[in-house]
Amino acid sequence: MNKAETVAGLVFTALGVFMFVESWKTPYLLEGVPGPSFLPRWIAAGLVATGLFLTLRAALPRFALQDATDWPNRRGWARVGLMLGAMAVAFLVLTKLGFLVTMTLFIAIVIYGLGVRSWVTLATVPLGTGIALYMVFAVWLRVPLPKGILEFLG
Amino acid sequence: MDFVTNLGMGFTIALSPINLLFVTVGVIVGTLIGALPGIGPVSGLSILIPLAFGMNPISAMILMCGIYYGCMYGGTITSVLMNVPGESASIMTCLDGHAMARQGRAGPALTIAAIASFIAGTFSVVMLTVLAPPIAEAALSFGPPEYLALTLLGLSAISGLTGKSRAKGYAMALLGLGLAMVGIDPIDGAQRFTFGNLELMDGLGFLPVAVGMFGLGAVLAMVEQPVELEIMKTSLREMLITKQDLKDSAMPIARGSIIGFLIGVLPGAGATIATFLAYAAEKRISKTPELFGTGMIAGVASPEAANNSSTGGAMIPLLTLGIPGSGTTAVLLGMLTLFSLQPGPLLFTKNPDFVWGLIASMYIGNVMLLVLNIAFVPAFVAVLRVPYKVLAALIAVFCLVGVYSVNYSVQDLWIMLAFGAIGYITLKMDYPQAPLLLALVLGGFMEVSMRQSLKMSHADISIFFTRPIAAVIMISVIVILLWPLLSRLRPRSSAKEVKT
Repeated sequence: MNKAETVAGLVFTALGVFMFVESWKTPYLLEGVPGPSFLPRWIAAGLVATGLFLTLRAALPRFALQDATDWPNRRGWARVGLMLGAMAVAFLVLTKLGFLVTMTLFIAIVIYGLGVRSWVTLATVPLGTGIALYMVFAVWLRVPLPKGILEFLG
Repeated sequence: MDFVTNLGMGFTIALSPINLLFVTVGVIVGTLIGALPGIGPVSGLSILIPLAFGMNPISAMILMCGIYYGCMYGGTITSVLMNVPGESASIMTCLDGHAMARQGRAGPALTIAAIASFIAGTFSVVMLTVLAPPIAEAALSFGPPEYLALTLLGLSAISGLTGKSRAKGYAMALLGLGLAMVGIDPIDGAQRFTFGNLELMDGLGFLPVAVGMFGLGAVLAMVEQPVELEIMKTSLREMLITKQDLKDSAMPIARGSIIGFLIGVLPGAGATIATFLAYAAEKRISKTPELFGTGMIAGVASPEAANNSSTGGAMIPLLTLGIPGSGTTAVLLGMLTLFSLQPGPLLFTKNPDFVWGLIASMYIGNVMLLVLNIAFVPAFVAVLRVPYKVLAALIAVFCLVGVYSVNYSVQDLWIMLAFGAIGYITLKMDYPQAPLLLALVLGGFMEVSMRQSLKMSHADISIFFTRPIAAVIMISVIVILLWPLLSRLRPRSSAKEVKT
């Protein structure tokens, strides 16, 4: 049995069931023609059907080997986790610290975490990138990027 | 020859200084993106869409299309010099292109690829110019039943033909359709799957999903296993080719152009399939098929021609019918809807300046591509020397700021992050991503077409089979969906014949 494929199949099935249940909040037919939940219910049925098919398929030895996934090793997962975790923290502090400070710290932490040890790179790339992106988006494209703790600069 | 007049109008728009600048920038950026392994045209376009905000739609589309066909060549650089395809449509170029590089002929490989891309790209734009207007005119008679049939054709073809598993393709398409249902029902105004969240009432947002899935997903795959790549050196002098190279490439370029264009027009079949078919056809026709893979210039010329020719072909269903046939054109469609432009036959009558300006810019873009890609390959290669650890962080930041700049919404960033994780996992588990994106883009349109059709026919589904065009398309959809069963029946029937 391929565990990852089984889980994936079950996830699709669960999403289908959830969608089916949620779609009961709106009418299926309105005056004899499809209403707001007509297509969602059919999509949900399709998701449940394909999810179950994928789950059952994952149990077959023939497909278990064929669908084997090349997952990363522990260090690989750590790198992926670093990127996702750093992004999540960046979103949480973005409006408080501001775009420039958040992005500079984000890039510095990520590239350090990925193995860059050159102090020149660590000092110049994060700040340079943050400033460059700020110029492009905030100055040129006039996107109101949050200033955060640098609000006093105006 | 109405299209001559229209094309003339298009050139006056495309040759304006600002649009010339955008097509040049687009081609350069596209080549750079295509050269980065792991970041293909879908990812690149998704990440760069926010840059297009603030521009007028014509300039934005010119920029994006420049990126699109620039990407097609960019992948060639890494295929030849590093034996790493920059994107899936460059896989076949690795076989003979890198072999030529090992023989000290990297320059001619890259030059022939540039020439093939130019000729094929121009051919496909000419075909687009000639074929698009009559198709658009015919499509004016399409109604909701025909549009529903077309969207189903696009979805079923992409789901069924992409990736190794049809079931996975269909699952992703259904998931995409489910995501498209989030928000306010377009016909009755009912809230669906919003959970009281105000931002979700506008729907899930194509951009955070696309940037997350394709951009961030690719970044996560990049950081998972950083690879130090060896890049073969090349200089401008080495780009010269011989008369024999041109002679050996001429017919492969011609064949690749035709194959690429025809495959590009078909929904579900993209540049990757076009290059595979072109390479296989060239090997079959060749008097020395055993030499393919050892440095045959035809093995570079034909797939490269098919690659770029497919871009013009793919623009035909997008512009004339509003049906994208691939992940890349789905992103372009998503971008157009962000500008409140609905591709389809009415686009030719309501916004002729947009359509013809875009088509004219594609001619110009192909010329830019030829010049830049021969003269500036060493410069493009320099970008590849940026360490992956730095590049991944930079692309991630670009994704973040790009998504934020659209609605200034932190919720969009969380959606992007979630789909980034989903994109990474689906990449690892071989779940094709294009069907999800296409379904997300087309889902709303498909639902409206379906409900309008059934309202017209008072809930009688025979409307989809009594109108001739809709009927033909629906039968094609049924054949595609039932093909696995139909193809299993055939070997048993032939076995029975042999026994009797």
